[in-house]
Amino acid sequence: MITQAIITLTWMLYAWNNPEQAASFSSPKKYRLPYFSFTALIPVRFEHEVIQDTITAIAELNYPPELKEIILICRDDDSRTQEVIKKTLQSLPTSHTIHLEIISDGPINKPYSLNAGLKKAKNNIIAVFDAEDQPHKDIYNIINTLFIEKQTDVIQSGIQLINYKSRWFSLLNVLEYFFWFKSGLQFFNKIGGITPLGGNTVFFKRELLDQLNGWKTHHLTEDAEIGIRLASHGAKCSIVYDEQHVTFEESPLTINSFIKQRTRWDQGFLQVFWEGEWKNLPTLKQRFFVLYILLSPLIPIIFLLYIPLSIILLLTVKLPVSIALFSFIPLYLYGFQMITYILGFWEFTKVYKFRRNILLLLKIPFIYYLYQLLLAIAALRAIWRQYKNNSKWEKTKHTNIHRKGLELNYASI
Amino acid sequence: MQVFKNKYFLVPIILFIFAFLTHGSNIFHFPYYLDDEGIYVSQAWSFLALGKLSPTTYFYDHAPLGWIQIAIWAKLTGGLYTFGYPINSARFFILILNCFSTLFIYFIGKRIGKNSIAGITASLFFILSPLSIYYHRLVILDNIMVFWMLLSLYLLLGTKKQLTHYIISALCFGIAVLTKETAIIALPVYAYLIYFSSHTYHRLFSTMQWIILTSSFISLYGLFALLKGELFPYGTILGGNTPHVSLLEGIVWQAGRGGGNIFNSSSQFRESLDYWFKIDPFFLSFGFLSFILTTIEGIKKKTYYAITAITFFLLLYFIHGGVVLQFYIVAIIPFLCIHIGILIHTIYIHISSEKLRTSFSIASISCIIFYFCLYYISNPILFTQDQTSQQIAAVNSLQTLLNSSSIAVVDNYAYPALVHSSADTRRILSYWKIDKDPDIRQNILHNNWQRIDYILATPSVIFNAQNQELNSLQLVYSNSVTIQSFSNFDKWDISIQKVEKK
Repeated sequence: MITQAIITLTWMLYAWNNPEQAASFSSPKKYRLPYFSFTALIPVRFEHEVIQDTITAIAELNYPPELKEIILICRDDDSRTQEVIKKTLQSLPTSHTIHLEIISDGPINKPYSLNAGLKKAKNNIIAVFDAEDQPHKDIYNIINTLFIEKQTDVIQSGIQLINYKSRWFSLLNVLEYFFWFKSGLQFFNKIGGITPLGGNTVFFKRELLDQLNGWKTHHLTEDAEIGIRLASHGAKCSIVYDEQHVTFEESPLTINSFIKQRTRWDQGFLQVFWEGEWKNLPTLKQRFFVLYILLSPLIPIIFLLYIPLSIILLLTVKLPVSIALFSFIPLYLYGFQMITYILGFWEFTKVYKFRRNILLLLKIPFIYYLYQLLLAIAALRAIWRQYKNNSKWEKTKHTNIHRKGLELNYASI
Repeated sequence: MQVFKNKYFLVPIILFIFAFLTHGSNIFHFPYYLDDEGIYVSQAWSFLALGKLSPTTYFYDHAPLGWIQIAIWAKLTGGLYTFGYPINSARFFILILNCFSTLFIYFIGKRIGKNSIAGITASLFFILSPLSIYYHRLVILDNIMVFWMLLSLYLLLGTKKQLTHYIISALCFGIAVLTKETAIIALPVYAYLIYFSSHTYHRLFSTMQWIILTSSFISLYGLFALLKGELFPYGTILGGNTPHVSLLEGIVWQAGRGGGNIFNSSSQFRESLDYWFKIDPFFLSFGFLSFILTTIEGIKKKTYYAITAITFFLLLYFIHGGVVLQFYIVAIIPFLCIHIGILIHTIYIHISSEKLRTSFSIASISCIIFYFCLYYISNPILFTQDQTSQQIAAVNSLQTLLNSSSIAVVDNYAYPALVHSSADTRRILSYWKIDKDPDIRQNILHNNWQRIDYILATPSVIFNAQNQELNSLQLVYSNSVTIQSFSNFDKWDISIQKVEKK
């Protein structure tokens, strides 16, 4: 518990450790002339509520039309989404190169859809976006500049959940993303020598994906899996993050959705762990940190047990004072995490110009344990599903909540 | 290597060696072993040998991290007898700490003044002042506390600070407070220093994390007391009805110790002040003058303000009417040194010519060294007088008189040399404890002072027997006869007295 808590606090605070180093991860101030061409792959399934805005947002990214295309991959049984897509395409200027790829075979999951899209892609950078994504207008210019200047193979950009007030768990979900993309990625990239890829706003050099034959289609976390395979093959992964240029997404609106989404990620990590590709990573340091990332979703189970067990031990067992004192250290570290979340919330609202709600701030220590309960349920569910060999893709419902009522904030950022 | 490209890289090495020589020469013989030194060394022994914070009842007079550090030092250096008498081992530990404190003063002065002259002159006073040398040889918690405070402060100053620096600084400050509680009065100043000197990018994180981390570390002391059931006084709802010591009682006792009205010449503060000025009027006068002038300068420069604020709070602590023992000066010495360094630097930067600046630097350093050389030529006792051999002889002599059942009351300096086991703690008794420790009074002496066989009497023991409410000690002393005496410096004589049984 102590080791895990220290590692967690370290990566949570890493971005704030060295201001100069943090600046090196931010977007370039000047853009190079457009050189790389982009194909945005957007797998969709029952996304009729959100897809129109997403297509528009990605189509209108600042970049020469001849150097970008969008491929939407949709299943044949999803007629409602297909209808919305077709209507949207009709409303957009014809200069946009946008294709709708209908698939009917293979497993119903994201990696299969991505591979189907990859086969049709014409351009040399493959961008993955989710159906609800709201990327920044300049994202292609930023990525183009970085590919030129850093001579890298893969770039992961920032993602931010934004609807922190939707539900009681949304705040912590949002802050998780805030810390992960702002700080965690930097830490694992610089210290761990590994870049944990996200499922979207990630950019690959086309030839690299072709060499690896794309994504493995049975995986629930195709992003984690391909990230490890890329690292094993010596690909150079970079990250770019600053709050102004993140892609906005929404936190799930129901506990059911949240648990399903988290179960999928946890089970996906277990799949990746079990397959053992991480053993082929070149350095021990990389293997250690990848193992940490893959198994850390199970920590909430232990954490949930720790608090009640500690209280029982405190009340019933007479321990030597030195051991009792030592056993309180995880509690102190838990307290530091609370403080870090509170400070993170302060920073988050400052950066995105939200009005600070002190009550929400004070709520964090109280909802944190309940949030861990949700994560623990998801982790246990993932273990059970993996044990039962059930890898059916449980889709997260999107409602466009992150776009509703937040237009003012987008404009001000 | 980069460090060797800096032409001043030799300066810290020279200062370290210089400090080692001045503070270390004759350290085992001067000054005499203080009562308090014996207490801390015996508590360190107790931690090592018995796994307890005190050989007798630990009554939360001070947080225990100071003597725990002495215990760790003893463990690493092969025990308390590596350097001869047990207190010598701890004095050597203090010597090493003070050498590093010298370096911190140099680097702090250099960072605040942005050139070496401030650092060099500040550390020269720390190395050469007789007041500094005298008290920096003693095994007192203040010396250990100052080391950690200076390290914590050093980590906060300068440019390109990272969050890691602030986190380590917080831990160092926490150690300082748990070594001696006095350090806590500087906490708001340190927090303010972080707030205005940290990069805006991580200002919120660095300030809040520093405060929270320091507070959490300090809270371990309270948690320790709570786990032992000794946080609240007995007789209270939370303290229960079984008699026991308590942390809160310890804090109240410490806070309530009065030293007399500072306007009264017989108050502890005034007596201590007179004594300090007797030892080194030059350093103190120059130091306080520098403090006043840098306070004025500090209105414009926030870093000066932080040093001034620390000094100010320490002075407030001295004059608030509480107890002021003579060695309390240790806490303020480094900051007065830094003030002097800042003053010299201020004069330096107002000299326009580069040649004159160099001459001024050389002249300042030379004058300081020359002054103290002259001082020590006429007052060499710090480096020549032997004040401890007779103390050791008295202890050795008492040792030959004792058998396995003898009970002896001793000055605390003798305690660590006479106690080697748990059984010894039941027959070698600190003079203060025979009246103040219920366990000793009831379970060892059975409320009968006549069970005591010998008393190792020093001027401290005699003074306390006659002036404090230590009835048993008074009776033991007045009903004993001198069987051996050891004459020491300035009539600080030691005697072994046999108690006459009635």
